[in-house]
Amino acid sequence: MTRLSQLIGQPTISLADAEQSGRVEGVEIERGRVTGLRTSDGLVETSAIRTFEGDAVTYDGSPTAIDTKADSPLGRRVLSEDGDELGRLADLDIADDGTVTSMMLEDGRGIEGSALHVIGSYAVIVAALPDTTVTGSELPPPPAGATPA
Amino acid sequence: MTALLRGNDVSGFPVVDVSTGDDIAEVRDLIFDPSQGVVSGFTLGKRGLFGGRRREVLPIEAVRSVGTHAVMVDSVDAISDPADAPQEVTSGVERSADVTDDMVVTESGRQLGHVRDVVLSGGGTPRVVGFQIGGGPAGDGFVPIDTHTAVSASALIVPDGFENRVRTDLTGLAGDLAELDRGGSR
Repeated sequence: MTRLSQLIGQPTISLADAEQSGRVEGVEIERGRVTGLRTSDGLVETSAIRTFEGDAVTYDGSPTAIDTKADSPLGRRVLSEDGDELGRLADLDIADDGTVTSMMLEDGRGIEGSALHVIGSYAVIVAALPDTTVTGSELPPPPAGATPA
Repeated sequence: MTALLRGNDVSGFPVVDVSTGDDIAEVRDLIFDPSQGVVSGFTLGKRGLFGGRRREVLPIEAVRSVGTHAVMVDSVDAISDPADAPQEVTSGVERSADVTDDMVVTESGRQLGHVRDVVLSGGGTPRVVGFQIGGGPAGDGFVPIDTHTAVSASALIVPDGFENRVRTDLTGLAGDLAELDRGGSR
């Protein structure tokens, strides 16, 4: 098990030439699984990564080009697929096979990893309430001017 | 979670592609069809500080959900060129079917004030459920849409007795709507 915050910034080393060439900048997520790491060299797919649990990320093959530059997903807005704001992303727990086991919000609440759909340039999208179980404390009050019907 | 939202709250909401998590546009205005009492879509603006108007529209059928923070769509294809959009969407834009500043009168002709905004219920099937009114003898507040409510580009007609149904906040309106639902009058 590793945390996204520990993964970001780790050196990435190609097993082909043992050269440290880049660093982890972010993750690609699809339906609760890490499908790849965004690195300063490009995208490294999860299938090419030996382990998430070392002090460096070692991988086979070579990264593929990423067309868009993205900032770290930590601190990004978390939205339900219904468009409700749940908070900001604090961290992800990632199992060695790439499964996201849980996500943490900045206010200390947790959401099960399987609810995580995608991390986009604008928002982290999770399954809609009440499918999503948010643990840790009460749900936030709705924003001013909005009232649950 | 379904929320009550004012039209003004929704203006400026990002339009987010649920499949990528990217913001692809920004809501500029609701397209309200007074003849049907429904929101037929949204006009759009570009995202960012210097974003201008976009000529594309977002038909309501292409909206996945309206939440408390964003309008969600399934893909970037939800945004249509006006030429391809349903006719009621484009005609709504052309008619500039603006009901704000409409006079609010009861069926027997008592003037209560003016329409300030529409209130819509968010979620997967967003619809107009009431109006924010103000500037008249009934005070500032919210009235629900009733089966007898009629609205045009010039006036909002509400049933007699609605002068006593003006709620000061959206929580009050939500309670009223729940009561109307239970009474089966809607």
